[in-house]
Amino acid sequence: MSSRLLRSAVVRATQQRTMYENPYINRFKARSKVSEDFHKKTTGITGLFVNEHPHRALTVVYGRILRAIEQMPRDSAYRKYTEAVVKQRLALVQAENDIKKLEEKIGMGQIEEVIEQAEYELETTRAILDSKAWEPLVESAPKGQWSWPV
Amino acid sequence: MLGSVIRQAVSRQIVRNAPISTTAVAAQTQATGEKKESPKKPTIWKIDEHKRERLANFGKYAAECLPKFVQKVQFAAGDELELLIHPSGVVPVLSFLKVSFIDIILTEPINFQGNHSAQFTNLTFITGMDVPTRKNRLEVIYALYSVRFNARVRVRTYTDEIAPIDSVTPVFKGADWYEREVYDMYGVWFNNHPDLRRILTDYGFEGHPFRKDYPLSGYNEVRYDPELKRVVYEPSELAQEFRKFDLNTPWEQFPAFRNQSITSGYETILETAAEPAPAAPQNK
Repeated sequence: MSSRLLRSAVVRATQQRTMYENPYINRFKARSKVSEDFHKKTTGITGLFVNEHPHRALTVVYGRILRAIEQMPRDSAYRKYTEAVVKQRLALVQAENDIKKLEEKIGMGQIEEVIEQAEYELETTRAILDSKAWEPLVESAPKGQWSWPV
Repeated sequence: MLGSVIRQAVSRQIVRNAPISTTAVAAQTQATGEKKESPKKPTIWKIDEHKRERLANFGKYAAECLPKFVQKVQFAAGDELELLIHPSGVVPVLSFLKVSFIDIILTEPINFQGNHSAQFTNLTFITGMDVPTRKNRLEVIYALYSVRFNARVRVRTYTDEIAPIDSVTPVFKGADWYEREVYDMYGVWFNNHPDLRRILTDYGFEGHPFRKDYPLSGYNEVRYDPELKRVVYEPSELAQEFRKFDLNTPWEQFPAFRNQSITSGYETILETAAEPAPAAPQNK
């Protein structure tokens, strides 16, 4: 019984597939579906899918960035600059309901790109938090390390 | 490193200056039909002072945000921004450069109205450099490019033969093969790399060919053996009697420019030194 199951699994895994049954393409197509009445069908950028609820996504990510950033000391330059920018953007997102107008106000291209950038920012914030990058220089370079010619 | 800088500079000259000037001149002479004094411009890379200033501001901003790792900010070859960092901060520095909210469009140091980011999202290459006379002889160089703002930045850090560097594959997926190349050619070990093995050389290869102490002829040679009907590896034997070549001339050709020819391109923007506290954590 188990051997028959195993054999069928092996057959399924190794049999020839047509191009249209590619699981990766199917997954891609499922993700790239956009509802009928939305103002655009695609972002025009490979791998970047249309987000129909950008306000929700942005509020969540910006909230996470702000929460992560609160663990840094108040006088760290990164916290100062990033907090100001993120709070300003969050205010824009909460004030403006229309997606196209919001894109214009932020001025960083499509709203999906803004979301992607915010996600990268969250990763950066966490990396800086883990490495405590606001502390003074950990170690000077050895003498002559950066001199050229030697 | 230096070779790559020169190559970049040369290729840029060729791409940007040469075709425009030659076609323009050709069109002029064809149209008028007479010999004109064509204004010949020197084919040198023109530095955009405005952009250079913005890049300098960005370098200062990055050093301010990451004081723990940035040791020095400098310009190489006039307008190429370089961040020289401590090896423990590779991942935070590169992930910072990938997003870093800062306005480099405007001349103001920081402008929150613009709230743009540098977005060095493209990892152009990672390479190494070997200077055996230094205490940390190996150097690893990361070149980044911002597609949105058409700006470049280079990050340089150092290590020796043993000390590992953190892999940047969590930040840039494309770093995978570049780091394998650096590992293969220079022998730098990258921590947390998903698949760190040789990429350019053969299976079972010995040594790291781009190190300065690697012999020019290598350690093994390969030939086809007709009796065994396969390729065999043998320790390399040189037919020549002398295998030490002294290629340097006994004369110094431009003594007046001994310190100018290469260093003239470097200009320090900012340099920080660690406090001489004994309790400082020793990472190396």
